[in-house]
Amino acid sequence: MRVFPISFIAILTACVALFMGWQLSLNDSFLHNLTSLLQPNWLSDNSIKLHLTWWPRLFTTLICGAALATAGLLMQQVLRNPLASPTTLGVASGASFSLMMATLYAPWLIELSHSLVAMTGGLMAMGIVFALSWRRALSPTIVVISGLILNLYFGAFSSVLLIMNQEKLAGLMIWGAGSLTQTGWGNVAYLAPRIFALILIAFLFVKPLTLLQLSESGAKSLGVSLAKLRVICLGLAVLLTSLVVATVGIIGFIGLAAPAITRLIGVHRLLPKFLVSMLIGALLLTLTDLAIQRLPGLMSIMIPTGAATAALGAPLMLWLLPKLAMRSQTHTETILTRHSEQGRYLSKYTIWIALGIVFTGLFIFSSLSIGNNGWSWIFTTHNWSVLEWRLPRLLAAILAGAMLATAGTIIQRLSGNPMASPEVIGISSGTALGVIVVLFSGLSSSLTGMYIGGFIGALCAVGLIILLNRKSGFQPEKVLLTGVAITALMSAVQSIVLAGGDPRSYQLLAWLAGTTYYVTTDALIPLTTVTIILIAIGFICHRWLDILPLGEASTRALGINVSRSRMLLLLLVSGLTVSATLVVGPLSFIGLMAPHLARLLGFSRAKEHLVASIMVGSTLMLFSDWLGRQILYPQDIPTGMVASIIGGLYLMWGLRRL
Amino acid sequence: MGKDFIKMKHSKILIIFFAFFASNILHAEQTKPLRVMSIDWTQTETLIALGIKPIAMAQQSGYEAWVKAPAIPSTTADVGLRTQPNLERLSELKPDKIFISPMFTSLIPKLSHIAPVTNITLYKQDNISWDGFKTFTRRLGDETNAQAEAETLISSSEKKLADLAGQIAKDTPPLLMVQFMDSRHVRVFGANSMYKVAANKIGLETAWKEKTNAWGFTLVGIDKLMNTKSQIIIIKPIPVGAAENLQQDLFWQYLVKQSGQPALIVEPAWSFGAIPSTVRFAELLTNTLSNKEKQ
Repeated sequence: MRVFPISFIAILTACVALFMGWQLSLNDSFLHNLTSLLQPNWLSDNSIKLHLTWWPRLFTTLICGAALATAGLLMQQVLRNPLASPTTLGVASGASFSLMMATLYAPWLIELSHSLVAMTGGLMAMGIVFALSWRRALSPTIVVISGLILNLYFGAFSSVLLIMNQEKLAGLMIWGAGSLTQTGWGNVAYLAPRIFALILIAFLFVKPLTLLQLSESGAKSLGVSLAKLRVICLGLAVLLTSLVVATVGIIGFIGLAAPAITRLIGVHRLLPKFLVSMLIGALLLTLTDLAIQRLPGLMSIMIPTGAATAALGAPLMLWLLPKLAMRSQTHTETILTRHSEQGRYLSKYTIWIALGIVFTGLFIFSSLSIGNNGWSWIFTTHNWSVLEWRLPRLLAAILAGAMLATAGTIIQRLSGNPMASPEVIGISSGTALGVIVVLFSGLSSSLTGMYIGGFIGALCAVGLIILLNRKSGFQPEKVLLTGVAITALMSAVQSIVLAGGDPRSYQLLAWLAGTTYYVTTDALIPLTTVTIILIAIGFICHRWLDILPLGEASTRALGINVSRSRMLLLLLVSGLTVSATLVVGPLSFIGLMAPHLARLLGFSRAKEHLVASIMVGSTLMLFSDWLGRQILYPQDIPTGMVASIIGGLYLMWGLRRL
Repeated sequence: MGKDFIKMKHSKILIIFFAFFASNILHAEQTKPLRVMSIDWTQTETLIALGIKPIAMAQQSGYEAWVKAPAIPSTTADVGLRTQPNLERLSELKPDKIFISPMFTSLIPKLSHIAPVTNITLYKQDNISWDGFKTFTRRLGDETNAQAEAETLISSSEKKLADLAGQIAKDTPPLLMVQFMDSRHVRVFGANSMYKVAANKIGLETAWKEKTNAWGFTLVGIDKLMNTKSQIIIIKPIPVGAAENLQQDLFWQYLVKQSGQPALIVEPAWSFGAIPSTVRFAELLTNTLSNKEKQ
């Protein structure tokens, strides 16, 4: 090992030691405090507090940090994707979802064992991911996409449960934000042996993993069963993650950041990489937690560590980004963005049919609905006034669907990454952050205030993306990572807000879920104009979208300025996302799903891909908006959630065929 | 002259018409109660306590689970989520007036198309006190032509609370009122909370002196509850699994031992309620405390 990694770890250790020393020198003599670890003085409050809360917390953070880092490294190694992390495979959201379901519908399960419920959920999520990607021999790309879809799917379901049962699920939000408060040695005793055993098993696989690192075919020729290796390693990672998630809650970022930092400080061989990642993971989490405990007054209570690591990790990630050596784009080119030869062509005829479908849908959905007297058809009731409520929403749904689909298609083609979507590059998150700040700083809770805040947030996000990526020529992977960091920051802030139990947070949740509820008739004209202009620009750029996925070299050979075209497309995507987000909330999934669905339908040339995904996006949104208002009448389920529940099902079905 | 006659006839007809309509309107005002509804449970609770039957409310099942009393009239319709009430349904119900709390300001542009919206603030920093509740109740009474009912509600509640205060043992230590979120985290209620108003009204103090949020609570891990000489009051519901965990939790047991009193469990009232919830909680609290005395 070179000097840099050692000194980096030394600095981290020194920081941890410093904080520990600080805590231990308070209230009593250092020696007494130190001995409280093993022999507490049962007559002294301070000693008991240290023995039963502080020390267990310290060990919990060390163990959890190491476990998450190992899990993250295993996943990144097996999936060969620097964005893979314990949360990527849906483990955390699976666990969270099963806990919610159990809390609401089978409380006796939780009485039986809280951890078991969470772990079952996590493992089930993993099982689904495996089942979806089995036919492709657990190909890394398919695994990551399946995980992502499952995450979104569980996320959407959980949000529906949450907005309908906010009071009942308040406790779960604290768990979701990863509070590390301990009140005894139970968790340490439970976690330590299990995690130690799992990590030992992981070490047995260092050698085959090293082979895999070289190349897939190389590993195969040396007699390593790829599928078996992937199942075992991912299984280990999932077990590690779900153990941590089940006992202390969701802790963001460590699993992603620790291996990334290890790579950055120049550790490349696998065995040292494991050891260094574990150390960094453990130290990072402990340091964050110790620092949070030392925050003055109530700040330390209001900020759960799990969310805080995510919030602190985001700037760290942003700072590290320019230093990250990225493989070139062709390397990450994937099945879903592959330039297929037998792409389906759209005739003018099909476009008319598709348009026809959208308008028929609009006609039916605006006239048929449940009302106070059950199902009613507007032509028999002649109650035309309800159109005032229905039409703006349905139209806005179509427009937003079209815009997000365009943005998603562009960003997926541009980045060659199937995980890319307007939400992933961080613009929606920027918007949401702006809204959170406006709502909770007490500036305003009116709609105009939310719009302005959201707009400023989005501008900041776009500014940050451009600032950080200008030098690297808007390399798609880096743009994505910037987005991941911004998104991590947003979700951290969101989970802190939700954990606090402030009743205002549910208004935020409803908005974040993506709803056309707030659209007014006045907003429709500007929205339509913007949609038409921006989508038209998208079509003008279709040649770039055909050429850019071919890779940088070919693009340049065709006389296109790669950097400039990427930046222009990025700006276009921002414009589309901001306008859609401001009107209908940061709908999280249309931008991701519509392009996928269009591709699954067989459209792969840029122009066809754009048209098809716009059609898919707007039809899906239209239907979702209508269904959301009927399915649990009179409850109004946000459009974005319904869209992701429907679209997610189709995506999973489509993945099987891939 | 003919013209004059016609003119006179016209104005007479107008007067007759006017009188007819006016009497109609007056008549309607007397017999037909104002059709009001509220998105906010605290307002719904107070409206029902004032004897008004709201034509609609939001998340009825949630109200039944968390607010419980006063009972919802059978004529009250459910319009769905509080964050997004069903506008079509609401407009079909034709309310005369819609009440909201500041949490739902973003709904105003939509709701004001249906009926005039009245935004009444209750829960904000330094506003929760008995006087604050009185102002809130009177305001709702003014808005619904139920001034007299508001005064009756206030005075009967005050009398009730004074009665309860007489039943409380004078040596009761300050209350540490907590509601468990999971087995390690609690909401501690202090300044600006309905629970504190209820406790103070029956002559008790609260033990939590730290800063609380606009809803009167602080979310803390139980490790922050040390060194409070107090009577621990656990407000239900206790989350599933938490009760078992607490029995095994050394630290919690130490906390209870240190407080010098066994912890008491009280049935809940709506934590963010107004006068009806305050009175209900004061009753529940008094019952629990006096049961303890008897033992």
